[in-house]
Amino acid sequence: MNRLFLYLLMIVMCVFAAGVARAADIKLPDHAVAGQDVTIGTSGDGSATLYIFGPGQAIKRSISLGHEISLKGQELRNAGVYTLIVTGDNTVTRQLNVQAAAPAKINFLARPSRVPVARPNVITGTAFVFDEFQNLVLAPTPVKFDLSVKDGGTTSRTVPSKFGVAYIDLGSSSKEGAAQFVASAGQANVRRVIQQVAADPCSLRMSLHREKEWLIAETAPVRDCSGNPVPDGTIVTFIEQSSNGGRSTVDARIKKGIARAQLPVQPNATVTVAAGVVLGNEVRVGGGE
Amino acid sequence: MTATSRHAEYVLRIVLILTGLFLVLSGCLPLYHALAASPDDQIQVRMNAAQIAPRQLEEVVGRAIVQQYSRAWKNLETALDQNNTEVLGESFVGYAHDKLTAQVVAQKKAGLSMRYVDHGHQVDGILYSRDGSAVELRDTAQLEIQYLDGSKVVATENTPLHYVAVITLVDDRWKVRVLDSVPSF
Repeated sequence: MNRLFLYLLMIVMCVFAAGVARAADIKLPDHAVAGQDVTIGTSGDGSATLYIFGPGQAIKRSISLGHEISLKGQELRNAGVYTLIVTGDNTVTRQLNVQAAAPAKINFLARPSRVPVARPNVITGTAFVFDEFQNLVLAPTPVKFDLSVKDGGTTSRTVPSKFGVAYIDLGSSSKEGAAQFVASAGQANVRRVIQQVAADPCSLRMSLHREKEWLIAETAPVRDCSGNPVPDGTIVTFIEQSSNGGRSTVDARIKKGIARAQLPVQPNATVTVAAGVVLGNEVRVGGGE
Repeated sequence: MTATSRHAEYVLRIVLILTGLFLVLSGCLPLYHALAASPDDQIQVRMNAAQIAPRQLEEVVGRAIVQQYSRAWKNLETALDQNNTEVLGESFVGYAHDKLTAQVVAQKKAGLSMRYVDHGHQVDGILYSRDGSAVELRDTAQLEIQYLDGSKVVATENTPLHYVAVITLVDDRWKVRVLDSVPSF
């Protein structure tokens, strides 16, 4: 009786093992890269249905268990986690992680478009690194930032990206002009232009001379503290204050680097000049009796 | 006052009262719908911006991002459930919009769909750009997902899922530009 029971038990175990052996299963590669072909192994017998749900993708395909399945690179061009489901006698679900390919494209935000010269940390650059299939490259990637202006030298920094983004703050150089701000990673690079303009006037100096019945006030070429000419059109204010309380104010625009104003001749007057918050020299004219 | 003028006055009074009632109702109904909206219509998003850089996230901006990111997930789940791309434009732009649209089109073609039960998102702010136009988030989502072939559920998944999202300001609204799933952080 015991022997009969043992034989029956062995038969049941063999049938169960055979069932397990026939069950479907999927063998996935260790890693997959967007745009590259992938081969998936299957085990079991008979026909089944393969479903793939993933980023930008949904596939339903009839397959034969025990054979390999090929997925084309185009079907897996979007990076992310794909869910693979095989339904036959049993249902098997597996996850396939497809990583981004090599950096091929950068989305680069460079701000602002116009800055004064010689200011620290005034330019900011943010670079998002993508592969050729518009997947964010999440693996740390060195991103090189270059800021250069003609005759002003080049500032270079390399920043490793984190979760696909790298950012940097840079100061403007002391030379005015169109600065080239370039972000590059791998074979990809993007160029932006930041206009560096002269800062506030520095060391404002004027001189006076008489022309007929007028007093002509004229500045020396107006420059910022780095020696860059202040743009034409910048307002310079001349104020003449006489001893008897008379006051004349003239706002003159810089033309070809110089501001010039015509003031009335007043006895015993003081002429001052200013541009923005910068004060220039003071000149006394006339003479009291 | 003649009978005719009394009658006219009466009719005018009725018309005015009905017009007033109509105006009140037209204002109250949308208010009722808003107040009575089931919590199930909204997806819970909790955001931690303690580590965000290089710019601090203002509170009002954070609230707007949470609200609009929650709305984006609602639209995503509706799109993949109903195979409807029309809801995507409200919340998605650029690469994320293109990929979701492609997925809906592929699902429709194969007769497939995905149904979500969304138990909420824990979101960490990673990046807030200096000019305030872009934010990057790390999202851990508690999702139950049913994969359907027609009306038949072929598999169910109930597991935390991880996403990296980049959202940008478009027309005064935060929209998802990148939404990439990752196995872990």
